[in-house]
Amino acid sequence: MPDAPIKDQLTSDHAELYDTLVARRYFAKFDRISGHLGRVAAELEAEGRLSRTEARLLGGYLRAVAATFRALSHKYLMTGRDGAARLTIDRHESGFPVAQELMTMAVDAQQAARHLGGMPSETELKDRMVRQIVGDLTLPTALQFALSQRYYYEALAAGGIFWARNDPDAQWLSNRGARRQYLVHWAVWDAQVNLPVVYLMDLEDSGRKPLPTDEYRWPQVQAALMAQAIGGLKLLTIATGFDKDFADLHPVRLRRVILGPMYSASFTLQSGPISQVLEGAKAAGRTGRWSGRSRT
Amino acid sequence: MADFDTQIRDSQAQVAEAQAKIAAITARIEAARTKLDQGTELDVENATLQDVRQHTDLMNANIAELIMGLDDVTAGFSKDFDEMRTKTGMESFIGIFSRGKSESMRQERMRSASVDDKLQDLIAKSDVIVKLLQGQLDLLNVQKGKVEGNLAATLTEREETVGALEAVRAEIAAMDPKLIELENRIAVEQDAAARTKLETELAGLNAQHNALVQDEQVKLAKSQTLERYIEKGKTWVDSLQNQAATQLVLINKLQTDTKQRVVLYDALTSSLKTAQQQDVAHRINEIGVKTDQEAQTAMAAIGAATNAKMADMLEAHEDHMVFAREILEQKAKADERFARRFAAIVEKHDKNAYGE
Repeated sequence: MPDAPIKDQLTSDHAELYDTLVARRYFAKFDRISGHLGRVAAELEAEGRLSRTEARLLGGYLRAVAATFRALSHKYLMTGRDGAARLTIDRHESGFPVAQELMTMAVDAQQAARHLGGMPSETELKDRMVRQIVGDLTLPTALQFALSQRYYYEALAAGGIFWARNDPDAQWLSNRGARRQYLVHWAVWDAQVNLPVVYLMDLEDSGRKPLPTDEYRWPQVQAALMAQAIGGLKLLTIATGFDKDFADLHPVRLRRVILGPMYSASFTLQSGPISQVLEGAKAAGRTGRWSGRSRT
Repeated sequence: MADFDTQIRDSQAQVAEAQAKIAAITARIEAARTKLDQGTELDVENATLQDVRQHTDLMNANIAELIMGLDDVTAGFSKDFDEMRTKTGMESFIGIFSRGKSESMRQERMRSASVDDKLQDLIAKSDVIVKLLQGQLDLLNVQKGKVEGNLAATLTEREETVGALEAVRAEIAAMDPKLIELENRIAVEQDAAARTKLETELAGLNAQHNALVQDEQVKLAKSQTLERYIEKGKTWVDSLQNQAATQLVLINKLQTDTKQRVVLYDALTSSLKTAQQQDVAHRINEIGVKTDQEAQTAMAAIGAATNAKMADMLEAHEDHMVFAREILEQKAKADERFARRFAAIVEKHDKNAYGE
């Protein structure tokens, strides 16, 4: 079964974290970075590039990304031991886990309740660990793995996680004459660049019923926006297509906010000058890339 | 080919049956171990082992077919991709009257198309198979551990038995000269009383000798039983080891394939959707031709920026290639292992020759 080499090309920049310590360091680094991101959003708000509402929404997405990383860090806590699973990240110009990890997480989430139901409770696991440590004088790695998986499913069940697809939500802003103004926001984990991407759209609605309560238009709008949330598309293309498809909805401004990439000399590969800067400084940094486009 | 869910259920049943059989054999071996001391014959016959081996072969073939069956799940994708690329009957019909309208209908359809659900489905299905395989692998390892522990104990016991056997034989050998000497003395003894005394002594020694010979027989029988037991146990451990290796190969192959498929399909969807932008690009180009020198300069600047971007990408490509080589090697290994083990099934699948 010879596979087309294109398959290998496409996954060539994916790397597995195979060592326990490496995986834990990776998650610790991300934890630090996501701690800074909230302040970056606040700074942008202070500069007047984001409104209060937008900053609040972005903050929500940033917290969701952090929650995703926490869940994944539980899942991969025991990487490299007892044949536990390994995290795959995109090393090239991203540093984030590949989109497939997020899709797998969505599949896991559907079964979280069933898994939790069949697992021993946290206290019971800890009790057994103590007994193994004291009784057999061995490391309870199997129990540790079981507990890490329990934490993972608990995090999934708790929610507030950045999924592979985060369906659109509308925030009412004001009324301008007969038109209602909304800020519609949605987010995806872009599978091409493996980065979380948030879309913010200022929208005017001249329909008879308010958009979020219009059971006829709203599901269609959501489906259309999610199907168009692709990194390769220009914002202009998305907005024009949307304008054409929905007669009484008028996109005023569409922005795309990419939360990342993460640059780290030890985990990612950079092309261009940033790689020399990082290699030279032996330091890990993070830059936010913000691209936007207005349309009236 | 039967649909995926039926196949999954079939395979689950097969796996359950195989696991029951494997566990039964191990249980038999363990039971035989406890009965060994009473000299009971071992009842794990070659026929039973053969039966289990045949069944696991069948099960593995089934699972391999299941993995091939994922290809049929993926065939659903190619239908979706085709639909995105081509016009529907209605669109073609409208195209006779208005090309623009037909094209805009197709684009609207493409804008709302999405393969995310299908990707999720693919991941979930492959996950189900991996779980199935992993369960089987775990069971095999547990059983292997049990039998190996058992074998170690038995080997020690056999060593002891052989040692005891040697000791009895030495004792018997040491008795022989004594017996011969006594017999000789009886032959030359003239005094009746002394002769009777010697004969009593000989009878006693003979009885001792007979007891020792009997003991030797028992020890020999035990040693032979233990040896047969060890033989069977070793065969079983080999068989379990072999099955575990097969499971590992299957898991490896499946995970690599699914990973690559998800990325590939997603990339194809993206590029199909990005094609809608070409329409806009054409228009920008037309304006560029019509407008004045200034606009042309701007276009040139955009071109230069694109070239710079391309150069960057080419640089990045170098890094890609280093990675690609490593991953290609791993992939080749996984494929080769798979092909070696399932040559017959792969060939059947390639020829589409089921049921022959």
